[in-house]
Amino acid sequence: MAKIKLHNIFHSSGQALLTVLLEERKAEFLPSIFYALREEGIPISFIVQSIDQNGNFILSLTTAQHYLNWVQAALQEGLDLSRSMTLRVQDNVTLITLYGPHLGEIPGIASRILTALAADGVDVLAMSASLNSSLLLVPEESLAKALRSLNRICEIPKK
Amino acid sequence: MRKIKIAGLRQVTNLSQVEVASLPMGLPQMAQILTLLAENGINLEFLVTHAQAEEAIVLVFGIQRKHIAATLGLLRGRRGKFGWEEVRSRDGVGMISLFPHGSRAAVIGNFFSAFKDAGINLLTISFSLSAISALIEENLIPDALNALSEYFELPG
Repeated sequence: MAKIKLHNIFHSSGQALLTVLLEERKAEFLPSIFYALREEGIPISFIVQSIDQNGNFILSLTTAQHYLNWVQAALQEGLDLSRSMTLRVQDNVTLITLYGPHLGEIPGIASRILTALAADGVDVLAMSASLNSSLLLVPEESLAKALRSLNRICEIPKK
Repeated sequence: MRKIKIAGLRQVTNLSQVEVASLPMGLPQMAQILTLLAENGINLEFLVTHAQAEEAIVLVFGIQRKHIAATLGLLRGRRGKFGWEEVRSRDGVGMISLFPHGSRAAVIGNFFSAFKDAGINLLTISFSLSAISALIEENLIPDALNALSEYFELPG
């Protein structure tokens, strides 16, 4: 099978992944939290959201590890998280970005990526794929293995 | 309030959203689902997966509406074999993608503000190298575009 042609693969280590489960009505407080992060110059390198079967909002985001305490506090205070609403943190994750011209147009790209990573025992903590890129979050200790898997199925044509 | 300059907006309509919930942690089941769809020529407009609970993940993806019957048939037919618990779908959804120039936190803040002002529920948010995308009910796309225009400045 031909390799997946990419413009580039790059990664950013030293990230922390935060996942928060909250009642949907509390989502109205999210803008002010992100404005506060902007004021502090805190970057958000990844964000995805979905709604669970009970109508709760599940939000996952990453920031640099050294901003973790700040972001965690902002989410807890800003959303007034009760004990029943959870905030989970995964330290030391790496964001891998696959950037390709036609990733969104060809069926099976995500399937090949996840199949290759699964075969090598790499855990994917979160993923978002649309348009021309796929973003994967993996534990930092799996980075070398993940890159080997991805390079096995992807190529970056020389110009 | 100062608008943020962006490179562009894109909208896609005639989509359906599919959610496979309560998948066990790890990739094999997710890879099986995506392989099944790929083998049947079903392309995904977007894909999001993240932790739903301590030991479970959720897979959400968008497909063209014309593929929803085939997709649900394939997934529900394999449910027992592959071990996922729940498949849900929603028709009549559309996706709006915003192409910003950096400054993620401010962009995300304005993005949430626009949908909040318009009273539009976000079904899913996906993230890519160049865009942040929201899946919403398709009939609300004009309202969403109006609301986003209050917070973002398009080129030209």
